[in-house]
Amino acid sequence: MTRVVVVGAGLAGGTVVGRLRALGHAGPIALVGAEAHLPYERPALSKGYLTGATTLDRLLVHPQQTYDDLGVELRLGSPATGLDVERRVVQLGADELPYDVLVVATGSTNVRPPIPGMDLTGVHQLRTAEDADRLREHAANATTAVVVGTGFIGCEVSATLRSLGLEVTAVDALPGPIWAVLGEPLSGRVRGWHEAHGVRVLGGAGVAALEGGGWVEQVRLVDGTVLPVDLVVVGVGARPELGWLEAAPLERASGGLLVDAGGRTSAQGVFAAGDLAAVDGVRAEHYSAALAQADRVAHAVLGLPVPAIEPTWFWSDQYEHTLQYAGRHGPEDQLVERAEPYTGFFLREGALTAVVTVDNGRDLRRGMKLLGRAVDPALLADPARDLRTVA
Amino acid sequence: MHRFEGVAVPAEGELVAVQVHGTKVAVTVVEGQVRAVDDECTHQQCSLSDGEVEDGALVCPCHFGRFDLRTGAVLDGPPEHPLHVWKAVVRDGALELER
Ligand SMILES: Cc1cc2nc3c(=O)[nH]c(=O)nc-3n(C[C@H](O)[C@H](O)[C@H](O)COP(=O)(O)OP(=O)(O)OC[C@H]3O[C@@H](n4cnc5c(N)ncnc54)[C@H](O)[C@@H]3O)c2cc1C
Repeated sequence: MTRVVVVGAGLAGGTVVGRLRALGHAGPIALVGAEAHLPYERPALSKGYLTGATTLDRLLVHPQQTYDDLGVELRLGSPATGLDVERRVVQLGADELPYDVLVVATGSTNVRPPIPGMDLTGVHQLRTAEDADRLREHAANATTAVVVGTGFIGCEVSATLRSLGLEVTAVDALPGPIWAVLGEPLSGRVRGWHEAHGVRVLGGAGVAALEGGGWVEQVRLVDGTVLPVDLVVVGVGARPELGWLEAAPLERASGGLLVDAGGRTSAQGVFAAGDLAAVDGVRAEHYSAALAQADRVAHAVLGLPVPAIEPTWFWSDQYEHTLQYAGRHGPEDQLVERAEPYTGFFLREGALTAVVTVDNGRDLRRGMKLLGRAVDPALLADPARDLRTVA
Repeated sequence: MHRFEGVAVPAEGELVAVQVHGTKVAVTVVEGQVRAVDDECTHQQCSLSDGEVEDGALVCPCHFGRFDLRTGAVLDGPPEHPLHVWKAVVRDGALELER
C-alpha cells in the first residue's frame, strides 16, 4: 500500500491528510511537523489570538480526534532535516522515514532583515503561536511600539497593538501600507483606517538601526529620526521554508518549489502545497491557496482528475474592517471603484483582472466569478447594479 | 414553532436574518423552497446572512466555507462542523421556523 509522508504540519499539511482520506486513500499516512502543536490556522495570530480573544484549540485545522479517526501517524515536534529522493526517505535527524509519496508543506519562514539590533530583547517577529504568546505578554507591559513593515501582517499587528492600548508607529520604506500589493488609492484607504485609530503611519521611512543596551530602546530611521520604543515588531515578508531541502534536486521557481496544477514537483512521487509551492511558477502566501492546493495534491496523489485552478484570494482584518482581494492586477490596470461598501475592480484591455472589497465578502464572491471576463466599467461603477447581472 | 408576521419572505437566492429566542437564523429560498440555518458560521463565527447563495449552497462571506442548505453539511472550505438546519415553511404568507 502506498505510504504517504506529509512534511509540514500546518494548514496545507493538515488539510491534505484529511482530503487524502476523504478521497479514499487507505494506506498509511504520517504527518511530520517541526512545531509541537497539531496543525493550526495562522491568520488569528496577528488578530484575535494576539489579543487573547481566541485560543489555539479553536484554531486547529482538525481536532486530535480526527487524526485518531483517520489513522494518521503524527510525528510532531520533529523537524525534517533532509530528503533523499533516490532512496525515497525523509531524514528526521538521525531517524529516517521512508515514503512512496511525499508531500512537502513546510510553509514560510520570516525574512530577517539585515538591520543592526535585530537581536535586542523586545524585538519580535510573528510566525508561530509561541511568537504571538511572547508578543502578547510583552505588549501587556509596554506602552510604545514601532512596527517595521506595513504589509498585511505589519498592518494587522499595528491595529491589534493599538486596540490593546499601545501607542503605535508603523514604518515602511515603501510610500504607504500594503503598497506592493494594492498600490494607490487603496493604500491611502488603509492608511486612513490606521490614522483614524491614532496610529502614526510613516511611509518612505527606511529603518537604519534598532538601538538599546540589551532591551530595545529606540528605532533610528535612515533620515536620522529617532523613535523611542519599548517594543518592536518586524514584519517585512516571508520566504519559502526550504532549509531542509537545500541538497534535494527539486526544481525551483519564484523562490519556492516548481509544481504543476496537481502539485507535482520535478521529482518522482514528490508533491508540494502551500506557501512554498509555485504552481506553474506562481506562488501565493495565502490561506485559500494552501487549502485549494492541498485538495488538488490529494487528487493528484490518488490519480484522480485534478480540480481546476480557481483564482486565489485573501483577506486581511484590521480594526472593524475586512479587506478581501481576488485575482491579480498589474500597475497599468484601470481601477473602477464603487462606493460604500467599497469595491474596486481592476481591468486590463476591458477584462477584469482583480476585485477588492471592504466589508463586503458577498461582492468579492460575485466579483471572483467575473475574473477574466470583459465587463462594462459603467455597470461595475454603479452600486445599485447586482454583480450577478453585469456580464 | 415560531411564526414571523411582517417579515418578508426573501426572494429566490436572497438572504435575510431573523431572531428566534436569541438565536440568529439565516433564511433564504432555493428553487421555491424556503431554507433556514443557524446564522453563525461554525468556522470563525461570521454572519452567514451576509454571505451568498450559490447552487443550493450557502457561502460564508469571511473565508468562503460552503454549506449544503438542505442538510447543513460542509461542502468545502475551512469549516469542520455542519450547520444546524431549521424546519422552515411559509404558511399563509408568513415564515414559520422550528428548531
Ligand atoms: C501572522 C500571520 C497572519 C496571517 N494572516 C492571513 C490572513 O489574514 N489571510 C490569509 O489569506 N493568509 C494569512 N496568513 C498566511 C497563511 O497563514 C499561510 O498562507 C498559510 O498558513 C500557508 O499554509 P502552509 O501549510 O503552506 O504553511 P504553514 O501553515 O505555515 O505550515 C507550515 C508548517 O511546516 C512546519 N515546518 C517548517 N519546517 C519544517 C520542517 N523542516 N519539518 C517539519 N515541519 C516543518 C512549520 O512549523 C509549520 O507548522 C497569515 C500568516 C501569518 C504568519
